Amino acid sequence: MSELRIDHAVLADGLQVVGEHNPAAASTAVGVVIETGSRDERPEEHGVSHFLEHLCFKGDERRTGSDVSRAFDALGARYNAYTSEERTVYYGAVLPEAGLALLELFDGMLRPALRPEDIELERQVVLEEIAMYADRPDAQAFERGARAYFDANAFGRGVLGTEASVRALDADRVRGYWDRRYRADNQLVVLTGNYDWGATLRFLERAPRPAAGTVERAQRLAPTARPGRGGARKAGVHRAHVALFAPGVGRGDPRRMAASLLAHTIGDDDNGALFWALVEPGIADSAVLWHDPADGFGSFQAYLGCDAADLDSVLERVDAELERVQREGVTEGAWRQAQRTLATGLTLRGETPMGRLVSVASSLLDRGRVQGVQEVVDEVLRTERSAGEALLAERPFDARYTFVLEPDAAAAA
Amino acid sequence: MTESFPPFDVRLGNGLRVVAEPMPWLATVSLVLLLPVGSANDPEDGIGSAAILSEWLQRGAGERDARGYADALDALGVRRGGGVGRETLSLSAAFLQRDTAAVLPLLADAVRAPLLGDASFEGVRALALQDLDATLDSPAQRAGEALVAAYFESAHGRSAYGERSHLERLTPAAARADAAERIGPAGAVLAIAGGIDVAALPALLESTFGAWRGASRDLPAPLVRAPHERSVPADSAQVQIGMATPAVDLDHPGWYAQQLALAVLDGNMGARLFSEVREKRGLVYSVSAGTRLVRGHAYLVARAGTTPERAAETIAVVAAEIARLRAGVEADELERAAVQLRSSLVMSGEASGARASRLASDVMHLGRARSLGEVDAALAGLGLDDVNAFLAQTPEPRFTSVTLGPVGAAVAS
Repeated sequence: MSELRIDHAVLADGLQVVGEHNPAAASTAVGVVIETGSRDERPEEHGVSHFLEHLCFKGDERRTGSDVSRAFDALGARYNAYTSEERTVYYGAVLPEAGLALLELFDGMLRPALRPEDIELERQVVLEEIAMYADRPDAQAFERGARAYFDANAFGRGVLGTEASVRALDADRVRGYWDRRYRADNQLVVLTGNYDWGATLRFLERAPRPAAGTVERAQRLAPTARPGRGGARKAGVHRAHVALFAPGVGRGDPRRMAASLLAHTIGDDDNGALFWALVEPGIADSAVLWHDPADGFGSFQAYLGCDAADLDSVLERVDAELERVQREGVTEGAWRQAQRTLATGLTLRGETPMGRLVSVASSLLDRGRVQGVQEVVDEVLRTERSAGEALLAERPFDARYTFVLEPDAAAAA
Repeated sequence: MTESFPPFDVRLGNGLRVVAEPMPWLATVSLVLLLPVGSANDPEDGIGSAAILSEWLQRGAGERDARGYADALDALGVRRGGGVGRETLSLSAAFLQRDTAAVLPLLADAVRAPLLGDASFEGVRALALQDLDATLDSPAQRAGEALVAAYFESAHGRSAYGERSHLERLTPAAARADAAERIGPAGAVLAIAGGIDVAALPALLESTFGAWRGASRDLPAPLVRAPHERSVPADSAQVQIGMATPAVDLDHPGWYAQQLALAVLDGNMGARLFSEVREKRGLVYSVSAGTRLVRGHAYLVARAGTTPERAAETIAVVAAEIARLRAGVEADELERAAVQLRSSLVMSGEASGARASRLASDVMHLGRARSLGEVDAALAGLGLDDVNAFLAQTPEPRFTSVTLGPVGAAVAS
């Protein structure tokens, strides 16, 4: 294994730059993380974080959208972007000699021209994306469930926005959001693999960032979690899709590792408690549970898919399993298995610079410093079962919210 | 290129082909076992038997019942994967290098000594039926199934999920008999990549996979139907579009020219499809095209999803772009495509899982594994004239196409 080096700098305008340098890597991965997402949108801006992410690919003052796409391709980049409730991430990987050019491309893109004709065309693309998810009942169950569970808080409103909210986004609104959120001190540039740190800093120090200044630290209000049960029927849906939510812990919380391990013992898709209760006997096609830590709070979430006729018995079994886990706890064997499996997964992701990129960024943003793969693996292996039992002692699943999306019986008949 | 590749390539006494590529800088190992078992060689009255076997093989092996088997793998932190397709049943695993000697016997047990017990059969059958039904709620997947069914005349058109009535009728005895006739080492490929010690492999293999006995069943020869159009009614927001047309196979001299041309068509966001269908016209969120292989036949599949009123235009633009390839590609497009493919190639060499999958698939389809260097040299050796000469002699594409969506959605020819 080669020597890894951690680099970190904060530039004069507040931009953070972090890297995990691996001289033996065959590629370089570059990311820009903006600490903003649907959670930071005003009500009239619903969907703007994601829309802006799309629009950044449509070019800046010097380049059209086609220029941007061709420039990425000419670098041989594997690249993309995504938007979540809390972060917007642009990322890519190239051969080392193209690393700096990839960074320059991202840097330029993030000052989008927002031409009216591009906005109109890209709006159609986002509306198609919304229509695509409308045809996925599992995604629908989560979207509708989150809206109810997080009780109208911006966190549960959905990242894509609705058809109506996206239609209402014009250039001024997008520009206003960009002004407020895409500020230098709200961005993190992250590099992994084989990159040139000196050249990176020289470039970033020269690059003009007109949005320099202090980002408005709007309070990210933690949602009120609302336990209970909800549901909807929809024509065209054939099976029952269940989304389940329960209180977890936040990103910065020292218990987050225990929460991940606990979730694994309950909801791993090969060997979790729900698998043996539901999938192994063939009552559900899927029964998975995971922990989703966010800024200031977190949630356990689960998905189940089953025949609508079996819904009641499936929900009864889920109730029984969660109750059993809360009552009896987790066996030492299951806990150790979760530790080992998680450790292998982390090591595998660490094989490539691209696999490391988001971990490096989030360890800095969530925990204040970069943790190497081995350090995280050690943390996983050190996290004791008692930490999981302590989480269970709070009986999180008593406060769960269950949302069921079912076939519309009338339409089916 | 004179060095022989792969460094480890043997046929065990029982007929199992094993290929391995050491990646000595990795602490991880990935392994893929491919068996020529799929819906295409399912028994006439047991379509779905391969799907059943794929799951049943994991429900206990050797001395261990289902739970004991899963626990033994998890105790070693093994990440498992696998599944079944039309022509192959795959079992994959990733684990830490230091556990290789403990993991291999366990993995070999799944094919060498699966329990295939009556007690677990009903659960496996129920799960197979659930998985089949779950496709009803995934329009994109349904359209993909419908396209393959329309394209192939031979048993390759069967769904890998099987047929409901066959799954319902299948008995444990019939499935066991089927396993005895085709879960065998002849024709199967075991590929290993990562931090392995090649010198230790022969002894390790002999005592594990070397002890596997069993028969094999041939795959049928692929047979393609005359081009035609099908529409499948579905109550969905989008129309799913699938188009297929023959392509040259992996062993054809034109294969690499075709790969380059397809990268011009759909290598990334600067490629023709993305540019014409999404960027210029905003018709879709997702559009893609690429080659698919079955043994002895390659075909091009294009996919897109769009709202009903835009379906006809989307189909027309996709078809026109594919047809336009015959007129040749431009020098700058080709250069971007070559950089794309070649840097992707380098990056695929960083991840053990990607390498193991590629080795296994090469042996299945080509009879031998290609090194990254061989592929790179083949791509680098092709200039604009070569690619355009290849394209000029390709026949005009005639598509078998499928649309899945609201009744009355436009279908264009």
